[in-house]
Amino acid sequence: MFGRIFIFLVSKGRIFFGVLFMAPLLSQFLNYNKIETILGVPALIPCLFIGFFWGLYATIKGRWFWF
Amino acid sequence: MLQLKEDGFGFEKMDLIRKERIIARQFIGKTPWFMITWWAINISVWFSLWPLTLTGQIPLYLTFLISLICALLSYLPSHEAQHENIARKGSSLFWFNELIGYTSLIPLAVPYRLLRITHMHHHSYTNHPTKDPDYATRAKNLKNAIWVNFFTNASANNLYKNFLENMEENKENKRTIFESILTNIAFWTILVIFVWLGYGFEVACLWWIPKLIATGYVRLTLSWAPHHPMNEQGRYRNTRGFKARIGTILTMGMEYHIIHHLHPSIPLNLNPAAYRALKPILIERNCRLDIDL
Repeated sequence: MFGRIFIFLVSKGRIFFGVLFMAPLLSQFLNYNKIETILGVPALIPCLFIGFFWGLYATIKGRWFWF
Repeated sequence: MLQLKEDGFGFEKMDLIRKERIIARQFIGKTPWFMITWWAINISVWFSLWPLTLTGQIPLYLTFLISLICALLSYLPSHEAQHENIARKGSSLFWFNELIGYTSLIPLAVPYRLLRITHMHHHSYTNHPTKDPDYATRAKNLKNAIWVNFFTNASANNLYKNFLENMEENKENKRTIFESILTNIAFWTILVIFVWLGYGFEVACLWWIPKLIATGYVRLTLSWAPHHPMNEQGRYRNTRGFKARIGTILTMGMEYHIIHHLHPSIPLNLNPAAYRALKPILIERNCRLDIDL
């Protein structure tokens, strides 16, 4: 059972990583560069979308970049 | 023995084995203080970086640089522990061996028990395409090896995923998998908590990026370089003695990795001396050695 949990976490880990880690990190990077909002929305919201879809892309493709 | 004496080749072979063992024994059994000191300094420096960085007492670039060095140096003390070179199982100090094994890997955030099992398989089946867990680090040349070990195998879990999936279900292996899950969850939970508290750059420089770089570097120097091109098996041919352009320190002593595969109980810092002592035997054994090493 532990093995299956581990494999599941690894297989979905990229989405968790994108949403829970990359999104707030990216948002802090934008804030550091004085970008607090994007089209009137707090920078974190688009970062969460980017994190989720990038993680999803990485999960499907098996890699983070196209190359 | 009489039969061996009649067979000239057999006798010589027996003599070589005996000589090799006698020489190797001179380097085995001493407490590896060098590796213990290495572990103590490395882990202390790494932990000290946390309060210094989070309170802004040192600049981020310095945090990153020191943390990267710590992460690069964190695998080898654990490697000694994996081979029980600090203290043997059953001895009163075995807890210390395990303490070094577990804690030295914290900067790399990889599970000690999993590494020990996969490493023992690596020793048993070095360069075997399906049984050697490190075979995935194989590459045609250095450029390809950098790509494979820094990018393709960017996650330690990916490298050992097949191994985990095919593990036999028993108590020991269940514990290994449980500890692997715990290590991964703990690492990511700590990172996620700090990033949501607003310390994203800090934890990225302290732990995340150094871990990524160091993991790739350790694979390149420890798994790929000493076994390249990984097409030969057998005790005296599966590992090579090589002269690296970047030197012994930057390859973390891996130029002499052949000694480690022949005699894993010899501590890392004694490998060069053991190599020099054993060199005539290694030459006679037709080992893969660079002339200038």
